[in-house]
Amino acid sequence: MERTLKKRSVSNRIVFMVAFVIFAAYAATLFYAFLWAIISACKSNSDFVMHMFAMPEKWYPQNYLKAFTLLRVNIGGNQYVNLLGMLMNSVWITVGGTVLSITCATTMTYVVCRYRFPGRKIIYFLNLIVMMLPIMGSLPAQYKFVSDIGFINTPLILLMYAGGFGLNFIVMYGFFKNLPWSYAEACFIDGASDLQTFIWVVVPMTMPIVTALCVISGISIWNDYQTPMLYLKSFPNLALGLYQFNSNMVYEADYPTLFAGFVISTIPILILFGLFSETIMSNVTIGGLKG
Amino acid sequence: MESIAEKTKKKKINIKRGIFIVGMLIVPLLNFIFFYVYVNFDSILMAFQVRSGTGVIYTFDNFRLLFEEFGKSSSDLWMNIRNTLMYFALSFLLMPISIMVSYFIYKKILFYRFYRIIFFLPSIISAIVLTILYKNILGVYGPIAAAWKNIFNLNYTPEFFGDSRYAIWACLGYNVWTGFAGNFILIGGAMSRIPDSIIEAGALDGSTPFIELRKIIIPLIWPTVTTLITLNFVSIFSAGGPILLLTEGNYNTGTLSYFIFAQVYFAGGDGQYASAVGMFFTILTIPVVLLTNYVANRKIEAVEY
Repeated sequence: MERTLKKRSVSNRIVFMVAFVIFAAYAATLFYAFLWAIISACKSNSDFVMHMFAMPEKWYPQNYLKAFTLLRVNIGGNQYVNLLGMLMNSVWITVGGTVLSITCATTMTYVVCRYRFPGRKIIYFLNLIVMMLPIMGSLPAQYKFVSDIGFINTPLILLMYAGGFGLNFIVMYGFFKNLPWSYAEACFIDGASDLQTFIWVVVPMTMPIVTALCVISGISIWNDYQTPMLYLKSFPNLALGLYQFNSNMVYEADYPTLFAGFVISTIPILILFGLFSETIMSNVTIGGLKG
Repeated sequence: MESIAEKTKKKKINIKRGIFIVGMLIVPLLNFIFFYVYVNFDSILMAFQVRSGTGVIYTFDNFRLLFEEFGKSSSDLWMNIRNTLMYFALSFLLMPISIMVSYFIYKKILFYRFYRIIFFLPSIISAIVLTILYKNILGVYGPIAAAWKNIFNLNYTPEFFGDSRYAIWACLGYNVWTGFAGNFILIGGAMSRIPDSIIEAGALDGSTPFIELRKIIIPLIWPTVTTLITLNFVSIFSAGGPILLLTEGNYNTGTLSYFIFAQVYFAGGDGQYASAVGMFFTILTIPVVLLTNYVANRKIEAVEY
């Protein structure tokens, strides 16, 4: 018996060792790519072009500061947006889009899950259809609609995010279904209105899951280049700005500035994820656990 | 018996509650009506439209064109379909890898906290950043191209993103690189909710890592796995990668969804043909969705405990 256990633990160890080596190798590729970007940002442009994968001949850490003025894109006419402007655009697009989408998902799932009213089953069913049948090819019609109502190049485009359906609906629905209802009932007995109960009792209880969904949605909006590319050309966010700067480099290459922009654009996301990674990992669930 | 005063009070509460419910639903429902119902309805109309002078006429021309494309074996359409299905197949192959990665992190492999953060980086860092890093590292001056040249003894340095023989594989490689640990938040999250007692009982019975994974963990996280598989299947014809950033669809790397995007972004047209292509493939998805749902929900029973 003891022998078998010992033998088994040796084989276990081998399996874990192999996995560890694969993990380390994979992590190294990611590390290498980012380290390369961080170092490349500290080179002179000619040094980068001549020795792309070597260490800098001379270090120029000030490139990171210079990027704030050098990294800029044209938004029509003589108007330019620099890195700081892109950062501000990223912030308002991300905050606005995230707040709208998560608020709508929360209010909608809350009443669908907790109140009985005609049509609630239809709403639940509609979400299933939206999730289960992604309609392809509606992009041209969407573009046409957005330009017809005059939302292109205006912050009003954020209203596109104010929908409650999709993965957020599923996650919030699962959450509200399992939420103890006694607190809310106690509030109703004390004479609180539905809105008061929702704001003062329910919303505080949703905070962990809402934070997790906000971070996930925030990251995806922060990194989204297609929506600004189509609808907010005059307000390029960091993702779109870096893309345009890179595309324009066919005419005038400045790789160190580009890489400095990469590193700067990634820092807010890393901080956000570092702060909330535990909240995300322990709160976001779909499909649940069988039991 | 209820008094009139009580009845009026109840009615008042019901009206207030009705207003509350409407207030909570109004914005997301209006969004749904305009951005989903109206847009998709118009998309269906557009599929049957072609521009004529200043207006449009209704016709089957877009579909005729589509079927003509189907008739040509070397058409871009077939290439787009082939590439889309390759991306779809790859996402399936990556799923077991995701489960394995989540498992070893769940079992607290050495430095698991570190890996948990590092492996999530591709999901949180902009595709713009990742694609440009990837393209440079795979570029003609990069280490991979040089190694490739030596290994296969070539008399030229391969241009992975500028050569039709390699380009699609280089694009798929990007999805492998960034999707290696994809979904591990959801899968790892499901694993972390498995009660310790079950795993301990398995360990006492002498289960090896593979038996533990196959017989205990996978059945318990099955609802999450099937949800992910189903979502994968329903977006079968939308499968793809950041093609705009990698190749702009050149060198035979286009996909169906990229084709539709390019019609709006580059072609500058009205996108009626793209709407028809989208509609055709959405209809093709319906049996796939029904079948996937049937298999995921009926045929495979998860373990109860």
